[in-house]
Amino acid sequence: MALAMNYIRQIIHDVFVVALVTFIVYFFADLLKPGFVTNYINLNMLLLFVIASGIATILLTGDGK
Amino acid sequence: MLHRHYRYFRFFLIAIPIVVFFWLVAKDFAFSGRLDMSYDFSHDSPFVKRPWPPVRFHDIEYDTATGDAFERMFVEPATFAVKLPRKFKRATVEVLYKKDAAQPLRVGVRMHPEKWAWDIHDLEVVGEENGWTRGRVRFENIGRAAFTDGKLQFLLNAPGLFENGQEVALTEIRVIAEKDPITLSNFFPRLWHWL
Repeated sequence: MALAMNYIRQIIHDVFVVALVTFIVYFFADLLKPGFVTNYINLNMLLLFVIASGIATILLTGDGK
Repeated sequence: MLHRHYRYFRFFLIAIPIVVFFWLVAKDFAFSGRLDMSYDFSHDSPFVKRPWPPVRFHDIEYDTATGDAFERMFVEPATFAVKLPRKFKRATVEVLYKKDAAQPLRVGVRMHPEKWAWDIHDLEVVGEENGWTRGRVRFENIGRAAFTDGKLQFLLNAPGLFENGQEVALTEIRVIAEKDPITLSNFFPRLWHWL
């Protein structure tokens, strides 16, 4: 059970990191070439997902470590 | 067992944004040589903008039978911008409209960024959809049209509209932009131009 919980924590942490890196890369790509990303993908939704997964990571790791 | 699944999960988690990025590059390049865009008056489109100026139109209404959004133009001309990720050679403009049979409706593309110069053509009727008429115009040389800030300007021209007390209702504007598809021989010159 504890092992499964560790994996769940790790998965949520990975989701947060990948979503954050994706958001940063897409944001700067769209800044360099306006519309490159935002013509097809809503970056605000991606940002909300980053925030949600970040909050989940903090809550699941307890003290934030 | 759990660890193996976790590794698969991580692989897909990292692969998905990379695949999406290449999909965005493919969309931007228009590898197929074709970009199909439309505006339906209910949702903003990143490509086809709402006709302008708005004072020449009534507020957006909704068809009671189909629920389609539409806008009635009572003063002409009106323009609409089409934002393109790059230059294209040809374009087909389709308009879904309702109007009196005697009222002409034409579409033009702006040929000069500062002068009032338009390449205007009559809409050719190509079909009927739920009581709306679909008209089509094909522009064979939009490569020479005014392409300012990544946008082409199109004109909706309905001579005598206001004088005759007529209106033209529009429910969809569709633009299909075309250029030569990307092949192995032209990929690298185009990539260089894009960079």
